[in-house]
Amino acid sequence: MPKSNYCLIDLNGSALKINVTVNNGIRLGSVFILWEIKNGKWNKKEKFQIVTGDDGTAEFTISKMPKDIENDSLAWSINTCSLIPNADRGEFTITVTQDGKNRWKKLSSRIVPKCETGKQLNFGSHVIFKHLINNNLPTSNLWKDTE
Amino acid sequence: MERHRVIIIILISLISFIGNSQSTPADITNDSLPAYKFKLDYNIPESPAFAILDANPTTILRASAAQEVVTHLASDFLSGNDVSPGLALDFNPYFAFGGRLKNITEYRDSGWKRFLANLQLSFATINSQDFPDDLLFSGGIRVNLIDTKDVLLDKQLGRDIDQALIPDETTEPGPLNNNEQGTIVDNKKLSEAYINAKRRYQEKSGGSIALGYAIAGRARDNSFKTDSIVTYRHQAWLSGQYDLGKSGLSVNAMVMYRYDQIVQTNDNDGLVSGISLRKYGQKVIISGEVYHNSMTKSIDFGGYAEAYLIPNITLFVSLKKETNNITGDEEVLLKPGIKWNFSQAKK
Repeated sequence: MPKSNYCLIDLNGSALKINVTVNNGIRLGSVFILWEIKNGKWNKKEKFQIVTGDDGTAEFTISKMPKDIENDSLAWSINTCSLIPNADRGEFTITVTQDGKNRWKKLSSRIVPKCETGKQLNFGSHVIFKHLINNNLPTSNLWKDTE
Repeated sequence: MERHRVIIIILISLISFIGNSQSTPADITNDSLPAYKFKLDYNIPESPAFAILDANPTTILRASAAQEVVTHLASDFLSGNDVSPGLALDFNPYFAFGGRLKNITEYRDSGWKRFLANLQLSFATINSQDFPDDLLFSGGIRVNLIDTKDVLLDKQLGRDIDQALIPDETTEPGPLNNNEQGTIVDNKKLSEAYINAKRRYQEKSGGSIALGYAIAGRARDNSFKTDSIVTYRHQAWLSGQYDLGKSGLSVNAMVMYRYDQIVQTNDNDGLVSGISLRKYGQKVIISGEVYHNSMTKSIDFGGYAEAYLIPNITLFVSLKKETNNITGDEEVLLKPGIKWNFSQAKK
């Protein structure tokens, strides 16, 4: 569980990848929207429809470069239900990766209705991208400088 | 009789425990919507533990996968004649005790995981008319060796569900969307996906093979002291089923070996073998069966119907001509009953 809805990214790094997973054969259909704020007003930038399918995993790449999405919000709405009888609890993860590094991860464990009952669980949230500060020297480096 | 009530209470408690061990619906916030009317609780196989106590409505057992693989309640509570009333609990131990699957692909690709997911354990007790002072109880296990019609192998169903789950064009989570808790909502497209899956299931030809074993005991004078409990019967069976497809007809065959440790007749072990023909309708299944019992040296037959009229509940009735193991007399028995999917009903 991340401590906040803020994801720190390297503005000079590569494009962000979003990975969505769920286990136990649970089905997941979702929409992700990238919003940008201009003059205090949110505008839609990109939209992604994602299903995790039989493998329980899906990944997409935000086409805008990181420097262009600082302060943007990625919001999602997920619909989910259980296909395997009584395997109705699943672990859901949403991970933001950049240059092979995990920048942000959200993990939740949820009970979902069985698909066969004609019901689905809808949930969602958002994450806001902020720039990662790279020029802070670790304390050890400061000590090296004084030596 | 008092002991029998105690056992029934214990079984019901166990059902509740198993149901609750999977689901503590803390993160389900809205469940006030009307219950949906249909699910694929179709062609549920008979209880192995009931089979050994002769409490099942049919003798020839189905070989289909236990589609409701976890908690499943069956009873003969509606008995209006000389039939022994009882209670059975069938469940899948793998999921009930925390087993997990990575995804559906793992279920389809791993024979071992599929085996575990379709394993069925069964416990039952009946108040037998043959032993009015004793309590009969049993345990059974059933494994599904092959099932070409397993609904979880239906890739089209997965695709239809995925399509149904994609939010429509008008659904756009706002930039500061915060629905962490989640809400449960109806989705008609999911219902349609299962109606189509049921149609495909009925129209598809294919077969299944299942293997089972059960053991039965008697608590003499309803006492659970060590010297009062005796094991009195073992049985193992192999059953096969082939569905002919669009006609809705299915042929079942079964061979069962039964061994009675307490001699009740001259022949206390032998084979029961026979065939049955089933006709599957949208809400009703009708079948007829004929079988040979080498212990009673008789050929018996019966008819059976089950109806899916109420969500979670299957009503059934059978009419059987069979030969009593003890007296050797021929009897015609009417056995009505209920199968109740407990884990679904509690939601």
